[in-house]
Amino acid sequence: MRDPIMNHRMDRRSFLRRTGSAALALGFPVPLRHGLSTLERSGKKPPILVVIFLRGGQDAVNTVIPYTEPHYEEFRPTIHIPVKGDQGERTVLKLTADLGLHPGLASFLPLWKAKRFAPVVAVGSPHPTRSHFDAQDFMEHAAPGLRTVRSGWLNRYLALTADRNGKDSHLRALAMQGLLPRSLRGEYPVFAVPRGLDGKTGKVLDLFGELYGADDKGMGQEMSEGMGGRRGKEGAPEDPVVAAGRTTIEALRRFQELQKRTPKSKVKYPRGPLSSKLQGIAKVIRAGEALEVACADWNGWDHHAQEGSLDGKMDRMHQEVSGSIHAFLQDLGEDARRTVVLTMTEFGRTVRENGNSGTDHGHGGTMFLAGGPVKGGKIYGKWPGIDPMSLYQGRDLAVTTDFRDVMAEVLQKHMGLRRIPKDFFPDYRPGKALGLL
Amino acid sequence: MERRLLLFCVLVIATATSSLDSQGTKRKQGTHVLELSETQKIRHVLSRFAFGPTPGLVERVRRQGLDAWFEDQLNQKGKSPKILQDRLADLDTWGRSAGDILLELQRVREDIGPDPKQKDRARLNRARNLSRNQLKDAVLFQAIYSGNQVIETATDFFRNHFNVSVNKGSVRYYATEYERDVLRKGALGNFAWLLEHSAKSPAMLFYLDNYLSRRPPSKQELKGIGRRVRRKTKSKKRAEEEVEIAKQRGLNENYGRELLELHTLGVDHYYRQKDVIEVAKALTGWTIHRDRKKNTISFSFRPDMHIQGAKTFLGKVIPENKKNPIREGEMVLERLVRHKGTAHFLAWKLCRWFINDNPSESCVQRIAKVFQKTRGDMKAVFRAIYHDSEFWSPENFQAKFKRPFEFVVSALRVTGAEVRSTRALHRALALLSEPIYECEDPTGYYDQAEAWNDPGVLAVRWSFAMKLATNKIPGVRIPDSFYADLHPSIPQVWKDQLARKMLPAGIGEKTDAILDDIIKKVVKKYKGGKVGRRRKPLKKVLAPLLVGLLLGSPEFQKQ
Repeated sequence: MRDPIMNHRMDRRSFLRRTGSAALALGFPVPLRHGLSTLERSGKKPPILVVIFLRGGQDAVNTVIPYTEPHYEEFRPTIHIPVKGDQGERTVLKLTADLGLHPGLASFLPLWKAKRFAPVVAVGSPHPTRSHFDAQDFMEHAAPGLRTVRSGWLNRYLALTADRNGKDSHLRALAMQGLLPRSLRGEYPVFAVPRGLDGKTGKVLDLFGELYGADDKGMGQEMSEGMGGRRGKEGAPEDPVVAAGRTTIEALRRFQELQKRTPKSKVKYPRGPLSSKLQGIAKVIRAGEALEVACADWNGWDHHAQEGSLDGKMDRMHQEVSGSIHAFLQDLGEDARRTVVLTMTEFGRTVRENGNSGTDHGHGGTMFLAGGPVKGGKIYGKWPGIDPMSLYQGRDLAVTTDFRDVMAEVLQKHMGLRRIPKDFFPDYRPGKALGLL
Repeated sequence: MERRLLLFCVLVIATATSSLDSQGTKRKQGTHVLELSETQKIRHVLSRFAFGPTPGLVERVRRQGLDAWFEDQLNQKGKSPKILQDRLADLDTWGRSAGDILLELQRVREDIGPDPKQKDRARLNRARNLSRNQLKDAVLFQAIYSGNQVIETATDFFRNHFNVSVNKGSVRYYATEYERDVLRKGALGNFAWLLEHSAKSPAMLFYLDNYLSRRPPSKQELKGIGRRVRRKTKSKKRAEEEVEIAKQRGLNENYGRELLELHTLGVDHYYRQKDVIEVAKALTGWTIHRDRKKNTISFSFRPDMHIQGAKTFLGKVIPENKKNPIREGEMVLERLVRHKGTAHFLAWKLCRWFINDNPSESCVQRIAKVFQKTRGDMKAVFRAIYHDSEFWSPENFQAKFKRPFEFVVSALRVTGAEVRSTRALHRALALLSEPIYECEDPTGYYDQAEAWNDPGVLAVRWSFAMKLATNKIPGVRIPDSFYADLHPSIPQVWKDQLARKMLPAGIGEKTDAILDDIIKKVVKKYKGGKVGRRRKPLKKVLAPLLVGLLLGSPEFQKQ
């Protein structure tokens, strides 16, 4: 049972050895930065945004650690990370005079030194909910407290910037998992990459192509137009099942073609669920596809019990998060210059540990940004402190940065969206620019 | 000449069948249908209160009368085929208690000894997975074959409402009892009973951590712990460490929160964070006890873990009950069952599940009223849904997108498939993102189209459909009898016959035209000798293909 972990540690060490190459791959000096229009004119490759949602509530205080605050150890007697240790012992990885990383995140250090990695601290929602599912919905719809908003923020971005002639690549956006995260759901068709398909898939797609009105050789096209396939001649709305089926066929054909012609990666990823997803995304990018937005979920951050300190669940998960993102950027090579990886989580957890060496649902959380365009080597967001007077409702890390500030900045500064329409983030008042990108 | 004759035959039969169709299902083009026909009504009920029809079921229900059939179902008077008994009899852990399941595992462990070899590890893993895998099989077999489909769909609802996941710790050993003795027993019983027994089930106590939740230990207890550890380990340092750890033990609000948010009131309805903590306090001491002598694992109340004092919950005091502190938690549950918020939340969820994704508020209120009046008598609630005008509204006929579980089970049922091995079916469910008993989130699997109809997922359904239809799923076979009543020679008629069997709302115009087209192509290839390697009869080549296409069609994705 413990073998994978051992291998994993080995992998991490070998990553650290490759630090130098990663920094090189990310490239100095200043990375490409561009607005969409210049992009179109120059025919340059588009910016890429990879969003990783850590579901369950990543424990912010054991992620970016206020290691100098006296309350840190006091509030977390069994799960705090030691600041000092003997030779070879793992301790807080100090980033600044007051804040440091969980040692499981060591693979971020080379990126931090190369100024291509930045945490945003005490970031979260203005809405007080401690429900996972509401908090996730609110964050992915970028509409805290508004249950009527049903489209994801990334889907809204894609719809807003869609090619007017419908010439977008079918793989302009994708989720590397069987179902879409809510951030990608909405009117713009996005592909969720199905798993476990075999060599016969192509044949199956051809069979169902006509039934679902996908562009097809021969009869199918005539047929689907004749039957008013696409939009219906009277403008009747298309059956959503048929619409989803058509996108499935078109996107999956393209995806399989890319898979066939793209060689396997030479970069070694740590083993685990996130790694395999990022590896899949990297392959699409390496194939030269005009991918702009990709998502991957990792559920399992809800550590109510036995969260662990230097060892244990959270440590292993942190090792994979940092290790796989590091490997991913390395895998992308030159393309890492136009790629931003953004991690988010629905909320942080209680600052005090609970009765079972775990933590309960809290408020302020953490986001990570990594990649070429990131102005890294700096911690963003105001740290509110964890002394009892500063805590939100006396128990949680306060929120000092609205998560939409980060989203807005990523869309404007990285994705090249010139102006964010008024209702894009409903009921949102932009905060001060963070300068992340 | 021959061709013209064939075309003529097709025309004649097509008109004959389509008139049959219009008699049977009253499908009118372009006009607003005000009421479902009798056949549609039967098919509608079999789509919602059953995992679709099996061959011949629509006729049997028609003969009995739909209302009488439904009432029999509520009283579990349906007859299951022998295959179900046979399959369940093979699952030896399905009838066992959690205690016995763990005892068996312990025996294997002891047999292997402290130094396991490679093959022993495999054996141990098999032993660890045995009851979990058989539980999944028990759920699947009963959904496919049970003659009591109403309780199957009701259990399916509550399995997701009171979700636990076998991927968390020991839940896998407790879940068999949970499914059998809590969910199945309560699904057509009483909600108050279900709530209490889920709260007291080892599966739920473990899954949402309540078994750990307790008051912080007293100074005296800490001293006792220190002494014990020191005596045992002879180390002062270890003893101090253990005391430090023990000091931190205390309240865990995980179950308290989900009890309010997911099991009763609905998120942020009527309650606040303070209530979550008070509920968690009232439920301290509700834990799991393993009695090794009697070999049982069961709920137990530990007074020493309970947080004393009165609790204030939803603005009312729950007085301290020194004599019988377990009553405090029970009072919380009872108050929740009586609360109008619970009635509304449950009614809303049930209407979404059984009627449509967006039920009207008036419909929800009608069902909530019954729920509240009968104190959660689930038979009365399901009866109310069945008799509600909104349930019978033609707009709701075939209006729900099937969840993967519903898709797979209804495909197996409609084709009368014989299932001997389930491995490939569980794999298909996993690929479709709905493996049985593996929803990690306490929400359970959602059942709205929004949660399942993403571009991409249909490819997995199509692949499953084609494999099922061509008998390429190991251990699963569509019997020849399924094709026995097909017309002797005319392919277009096969299509009409199969569509009538398989699609409750009949075949759509577009699907119909495309299938005709595919039939023409296959017939041409067949005549040219390009398909049917060993010169199988055309029917053997074409009919399974049609079944696969129908299972993968847009029409079959709905119920």
